[in-house]
Amino acid sequence: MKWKRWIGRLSAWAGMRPEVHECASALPILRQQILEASSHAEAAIGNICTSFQSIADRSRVAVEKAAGMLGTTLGDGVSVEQSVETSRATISGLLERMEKSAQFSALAIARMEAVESSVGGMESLLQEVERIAFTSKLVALNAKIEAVHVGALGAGFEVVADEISRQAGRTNELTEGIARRIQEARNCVRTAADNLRASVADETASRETSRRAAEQALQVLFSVHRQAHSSVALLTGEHSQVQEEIGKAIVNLQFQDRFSQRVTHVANVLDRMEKILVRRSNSGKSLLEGLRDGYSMHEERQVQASFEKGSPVAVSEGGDVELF
Amino acid sequence: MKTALIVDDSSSVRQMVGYTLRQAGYTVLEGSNGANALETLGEQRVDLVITDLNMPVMDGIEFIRSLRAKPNGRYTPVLMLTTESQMTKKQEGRSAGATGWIVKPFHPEKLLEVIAKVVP
Repeated sequence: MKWKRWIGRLSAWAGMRPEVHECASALPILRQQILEASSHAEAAIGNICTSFQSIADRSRVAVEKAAGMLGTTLGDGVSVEQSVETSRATISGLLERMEKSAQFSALAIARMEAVESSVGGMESLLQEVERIAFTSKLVALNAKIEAVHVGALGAGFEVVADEISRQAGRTNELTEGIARRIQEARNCVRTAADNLRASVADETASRETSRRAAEQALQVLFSVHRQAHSSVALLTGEHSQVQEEIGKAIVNLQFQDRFSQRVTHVANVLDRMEKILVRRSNSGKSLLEGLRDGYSMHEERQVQASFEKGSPVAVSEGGDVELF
Repeated sequence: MKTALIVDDSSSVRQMVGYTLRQAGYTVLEGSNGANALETLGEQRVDLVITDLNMPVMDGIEFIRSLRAKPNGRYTPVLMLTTESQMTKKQEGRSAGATGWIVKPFHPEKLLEVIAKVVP
């Protein structure tokens, strides 16, 4: 074993105290211990940094996916907001057409009522014609009576009176037929007007219900979409916070680099001490000079200065930047 | 996409700087000392080099001198990222061809600000 060789070497150097030899032989072990501890710390920090990368990537991907979902609908490349607006416009258009259709129906009902009123006018004309026919019949009857009074000279007159009476009767038949037709037409128009009126009332009610329901559904969709937007904004904020926290952690984890350098410098000095004590070899510099030369950080130099001068240690926080 | 070369004997520092640069959209190459960094770089051009000072085999100053001697490294922005803050060392770095000097520990956001100033 190495330490036995060292003890063997030591025995060749007469005058060296045993306890110094014992301490000197522990130096390489101590050196190895601290270097390994530093190496383990470095590995642990490395694993933490790998986790940071993973955390940051997952967070970014989640935000991108959520934002992407808000930006498009399923497959047609149109955004949710555009879909809502298109749906609203379509529904408005449908309701407008239904409104116009209702207006046309109202117009038709008005026309039918006008027809009904006109038919009423025709009936009164027919009544007038009936009265005229009746009067003609009376006149014909009177004429016939007068013809009988006149005797043989009144025969032609009687024929005329008969003819007038027959025409009056025919007129009555015709007016009755016309009146029936008019009544039938009026009933048709009235029924059609009533049906149309009922249909319009029904349509108006259902149009209003449909409009309210559609508007409500669109409002719900828009509200859900706004909430999703807020969630994505919150997620984005959280992602920024995660980045910030990781940034702070990175600043703190850099302690490991400074620790590792100091440990290496200490290990190097332990090595030199072992060389000086055991092998009696020296580079020509004092141990303290060698220590100073190996430093790579302001605080290392400050620690040494505080021992040499008795002044307090001022630790640099790093982060200084100089562009040349 | 921009490319950066990170040179440091500490793997954790390479990871931390690498993480910072990747978040900013950089592709990252690595070297654990000046010699293997030059080997990794080869003849390709990178947009940025960040190097430590104290490294085994080839230190940061020697690395910068060698890099500046190569056609693909003459004008590349080179930032020293080191625990060293001595003025003499800074002068040495400047003479070797460093573009800037940052004393560790670095804050990722501040590092990216500095990079934005030196990388066109």
